[in-house]
Amino acid sequence: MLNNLSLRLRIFLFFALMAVGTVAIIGGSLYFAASRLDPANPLAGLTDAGIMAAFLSVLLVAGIWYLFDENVARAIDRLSAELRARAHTDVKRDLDAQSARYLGDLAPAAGAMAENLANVRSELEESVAEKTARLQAQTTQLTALLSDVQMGLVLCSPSHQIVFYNPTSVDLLKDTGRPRLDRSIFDLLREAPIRRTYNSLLTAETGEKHRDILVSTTGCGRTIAAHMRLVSGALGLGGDPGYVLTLRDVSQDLRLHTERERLLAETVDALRLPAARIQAMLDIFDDMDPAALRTALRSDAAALVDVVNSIAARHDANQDTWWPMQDVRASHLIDAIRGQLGPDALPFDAPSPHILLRCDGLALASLLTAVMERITLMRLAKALSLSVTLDGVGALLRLHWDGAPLPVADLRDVLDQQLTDTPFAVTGQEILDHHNSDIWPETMADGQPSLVLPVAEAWDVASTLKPKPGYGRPTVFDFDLLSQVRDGSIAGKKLSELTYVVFDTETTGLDPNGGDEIVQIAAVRLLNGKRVDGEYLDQLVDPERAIPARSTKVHGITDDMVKGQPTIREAGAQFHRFCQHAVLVAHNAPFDMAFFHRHASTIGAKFDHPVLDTVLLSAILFGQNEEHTLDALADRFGVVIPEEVRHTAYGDTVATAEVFQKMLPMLEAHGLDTYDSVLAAMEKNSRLLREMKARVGGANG
Amino acid sequence: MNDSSFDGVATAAPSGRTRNRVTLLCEEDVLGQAIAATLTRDGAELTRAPCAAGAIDTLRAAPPDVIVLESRSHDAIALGLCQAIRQSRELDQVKLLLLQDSGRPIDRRRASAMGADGFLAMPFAMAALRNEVGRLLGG
Repeated sequence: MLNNLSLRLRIFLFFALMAVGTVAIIGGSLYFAASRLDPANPLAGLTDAGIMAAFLSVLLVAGIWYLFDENVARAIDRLSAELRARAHTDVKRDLDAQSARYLGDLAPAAGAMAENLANVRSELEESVAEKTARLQAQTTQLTALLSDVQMGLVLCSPSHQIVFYNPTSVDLLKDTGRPRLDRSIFDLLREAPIRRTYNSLLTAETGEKHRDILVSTTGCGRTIAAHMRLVSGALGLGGDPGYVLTLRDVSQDLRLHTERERLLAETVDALRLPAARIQAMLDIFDDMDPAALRTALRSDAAALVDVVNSIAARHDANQDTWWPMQDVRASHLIDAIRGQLGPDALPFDAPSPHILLRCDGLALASLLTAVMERITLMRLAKALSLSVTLDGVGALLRLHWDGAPLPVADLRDVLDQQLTDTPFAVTGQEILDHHNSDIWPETMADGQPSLVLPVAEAWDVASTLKPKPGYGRPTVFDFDLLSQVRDGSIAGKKLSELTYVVFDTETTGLDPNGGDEIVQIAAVRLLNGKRVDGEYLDQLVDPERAIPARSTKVHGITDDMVKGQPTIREAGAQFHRFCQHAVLVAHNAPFDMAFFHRHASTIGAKFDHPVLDTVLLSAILFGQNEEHTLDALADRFGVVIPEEVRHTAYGDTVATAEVFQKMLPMLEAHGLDTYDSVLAAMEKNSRLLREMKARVGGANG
Repeated sequence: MNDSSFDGVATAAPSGRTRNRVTLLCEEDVLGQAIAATLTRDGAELTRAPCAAGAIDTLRAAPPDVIVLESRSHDAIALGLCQAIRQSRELDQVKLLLLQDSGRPIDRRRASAMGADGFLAMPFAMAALRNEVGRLLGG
């Protein structure tokens, strides 16, 4: 019944209660005084009554204040926080009416408004979503296409920061560093040739827009053949143009070429002397003592044999090939063959195993097609089968059929002919030679004739793919970066313009300074307010100590899982590189930071980044009396943490990132739109700041 | 086989005779002569045949114990003979030694897949050839 009273009546009742209470207290006190009135000393009784009335009044007012505060003031506070959350972010959950149940119609009214807002939003969202979905689909198709390009693609802003990269470029640079949005290209490729080419293209009077350069990586000294093309216009750029780098690793080709050259030169040199000696011997053949001649010939022949054998051995040891190879799925090879077979082809049966073949797929397909056409022409078979099986580090392609074997002479004939559908006029034998392979007839165990073609390198597809939800190897880009100059400084920057690394750690326990260690680090990056897909860290860490069972119970990480993983030295350094130029964000950041500060000397890097703590941000936004656990925050912002990833570093990191993303517009609405102003807001609350300083060790001070 | 002759290890064939019949198919003059001389000196009953497609009939008519076949890489005739030998039931028991002018791992693999029991890449020492022939006669 009490719940249904209107707010006005409720407040009237508070005051009425006060009035009635006061009258009752005064009346009671006077009655008390009158009943014990001592006519000799009336003042004493009245004083007692007065003291009693005053005391009871204070008690009454305090009690009513408590009721008022609990049921009205704080409830309004809570309600306004909830409203604010809905005003700035898209919280789908219904308003919590329970805490405001004594506020009369306020909570239902606010709820109605929130619901209305949500409806308007969702209508708007629906129409936007429809258009966005179409754009998104196109973007996805385009990115998938770019992810498949077998050439490294990197787009840089005029300030040489990476704006776009594809997975091939990640592979290409993997021993040097990882391309990341906003990272300077000079972290990965040597500065001088790139800067020189860029500047000379900028000032080129002939209107030249692109040029080839040879540049080496900063780390491991790979040689990269790059092509630089200036871009503006289409990408909507004014001012200085950015540039696209097309990258191809040529260090392997160069090394191979150098090695071949060296082998050739040494071969010629090694053959000169024995050849000269044999020639000389023939010149003096008649004059020489036959016994001496025989000895000399024998030793020279032996020397020649040695030279040939040692050169052959060196050549065999290096089976690399300069012919361009790709990792081709066996199924794609089979599809290519099917595509090349004419309409009169024999039935062709080929199961598609999940095998990746390192080969020139198109050339091999042309070769196999030519062989199959010959078999068809000779009427050796009624149907053909192709099987692909792993064989040691390589694979065997086996073409087999019921019928008569293909005579070697005919096979030879096919191999000596030029293949159709290849870019150059190459014969089948040349293709085999490029693959350091061959093809030959073999009779199978069941008596079927077959042709066998080994491929030197192959993998099980399953072993190369480690599926993990949400982890892809996508093409990564943010074209907003093209027009931004980022130098890692935070002064004067808007919160939304900063780069953030949101991270979380799992540990052996709760005491960073009492011997507990990190067992897992996860981190994601936020750029221009968006989480960057494909840029994440999720690394188990060997704590070099046992993990207590009670901790394993929380995060599920066991001693076995961390065995052989990097220690804090490597994992910390990797994390530090990941955090370059970023503001660190974590839920209860001081706890996590304490581990990194303690290990700074081991890691060889100081974690002196600016740090934001979502616990403290929540306190600023929602007041100190609210609950600030990650679960509570996620609940407040409608962020869902799937149960299977809760208390995994990656799952909690993603949840923290989503919460933080929703906090950013709220902070800005509070007028806190720079890092400094957020810091100043904490400054106002000295308790928070003291607490933070004590825990972070001054990194924010 | 360190002995200068392989009579010692030549074992009795099922029929009771000594296994020492070797047929040499070699187009290369000097090499052929040298091989023939060396094997004969070691006690082999050596016949030579031209390295041509027709040689298979000669071989079938009188199967030797070991065939020494010289082959150039991508040599259709020699490899064709190799294939024909392995398809002839009469030549099931015959051991085949391939002498080839290339010796990449894939060449050895192809040779063994096509039925060669032994493989020597040129240039080789005569001692190595005698070893191989001795091993094949023994087995």
